[in-house]
Amino acid sequence: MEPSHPRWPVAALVALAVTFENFWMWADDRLLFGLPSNLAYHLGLCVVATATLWAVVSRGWPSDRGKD
Amino acid sequence: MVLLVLCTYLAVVLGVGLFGHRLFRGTGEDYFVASRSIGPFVLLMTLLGTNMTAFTLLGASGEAYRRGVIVFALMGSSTAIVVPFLIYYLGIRSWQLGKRRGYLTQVQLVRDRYGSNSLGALLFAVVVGLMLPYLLIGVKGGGDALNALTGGPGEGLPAWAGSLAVCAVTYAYVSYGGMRSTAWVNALQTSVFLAFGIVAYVAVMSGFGGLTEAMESLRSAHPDMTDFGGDRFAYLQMGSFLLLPLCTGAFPHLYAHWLSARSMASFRLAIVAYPLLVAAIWFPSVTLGAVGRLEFAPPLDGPVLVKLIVGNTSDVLAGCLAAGVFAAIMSSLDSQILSLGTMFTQDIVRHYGFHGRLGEDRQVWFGRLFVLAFLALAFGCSLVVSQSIFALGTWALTGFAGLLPMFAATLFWRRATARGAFASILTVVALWAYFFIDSLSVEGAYSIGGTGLMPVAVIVPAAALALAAGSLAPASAPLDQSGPNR
Repeated sequence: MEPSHPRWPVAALVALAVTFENFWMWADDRLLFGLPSNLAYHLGLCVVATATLWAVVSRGWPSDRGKD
Repeated sequence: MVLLVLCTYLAVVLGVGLFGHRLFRGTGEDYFVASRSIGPFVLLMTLLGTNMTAFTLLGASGEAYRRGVIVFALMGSSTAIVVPFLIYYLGIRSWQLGKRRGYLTQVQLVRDRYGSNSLGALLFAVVVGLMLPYLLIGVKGGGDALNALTGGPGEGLPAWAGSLAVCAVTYAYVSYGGMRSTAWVNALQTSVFLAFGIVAYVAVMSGFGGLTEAMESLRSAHPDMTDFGGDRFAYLQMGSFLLLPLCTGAFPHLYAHWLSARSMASFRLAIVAYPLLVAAIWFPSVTLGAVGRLEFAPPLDGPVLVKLIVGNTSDVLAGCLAAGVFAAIMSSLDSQILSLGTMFTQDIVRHYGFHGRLGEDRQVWFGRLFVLAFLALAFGCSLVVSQSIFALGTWALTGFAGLLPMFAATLFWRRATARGAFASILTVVALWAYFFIDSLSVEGAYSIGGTGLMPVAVIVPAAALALAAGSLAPASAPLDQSGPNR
């Protein structure tokens, strides 16, 4: 079967996965915007993921004519 | 009052579910995938609701009560990142093939792709086996929640009553209305949960002086609950948990929802909105669980989320949130039991020769009976199993995540073979069983050798390697070439 999806969104997924491991600030116990800094970071990551996925569906929408 | 609100809510759910039956077109395809007619909003809500289980609410808040805000990263943001990409790749591709070839289950796809009946039978057995602990967390969660809401151990209603109520209501509307009822009820339940959740969250947090003050207090009293640690254990565990949401790509109930989409464009909203809505569900669950530590000292005799709500809000609000908790539980349970019924009807009853002898309505009845028996088994297990919801859920998700390489290859890798798929599934079964047995001798949370590395981090790469090795190795003799019998 021939996939009709572009491959570049995989790179976006890998980039998000790499930034998921924010090890440089794991021991940081400060509050940021009233939240523990690590929690604030991961909330921000969810926002970045949303923006990335908006780009994926806008620029990388697969063809509806995938071949078997 | 709590019971009154809860019973009213269950009646509304039942009413919406039964109303869905009025649009039933009398065909198997309509019962199992709503004639592939579900639009963007209902698809989004139903995908979200299906993934929002007792694990998300009771399990995550309970784990946050023990470990702190790191639980949001472990399961919340990892889900928000990984799952939309699975919908984008696997969901859309499954929908394309399902529509073109009339698939209703994953087993049909795999049988057809590899031309192997025995592979389909193996996959059916493994998926049904993994569904038991996953379904069990919903049944058990319903019982635990009702017990805590009505007074807790010794005083409240027995846990079995809540478990039975969840099973009975869900079974009624799923068996009567099929996928359309399930999707509509899911959309309603997810909306109810989000609305009641926000109100209850504000009410509970205001009791702690607001979110910022609660976090300040938590940092002062329990500093280890507001940072992520920073040792090798945390690093390996974070990496492992990023792999756990891969299970979503192998869930049979998610597959059925993908197939129910009206068009490919229906997926757009679900893909884009998913991360923010996941965060909107996990954030309150985790932060409430963590600040619960300020109010209740361990050990805790019931779900922390329910205890916080009962202790900090009015009876009516507690009843509304009880409805929200039940909504979360039932919105997953309904999809799970519908997919089990679909699999039994399509992959066993139809496939193994009963197709010519039984009408479509009789085949659907076989599916209903199978689901009833399976629910009875899960209910029985809920009375004796003592593992936490988080632990049960993690084991079920680990097994499904291990199946992902095989499903992804089935959809996207031309060189994948039946032998590779066999090798991959058997590797998952063997490793899962090994780690599960190993975990029985360990007190508390399990990781491999106590390093923080979770079994999923070994099982997924091993399954992928087995798939590649089995597919690329030169064949000595053809495997089962009997072909699909559909």
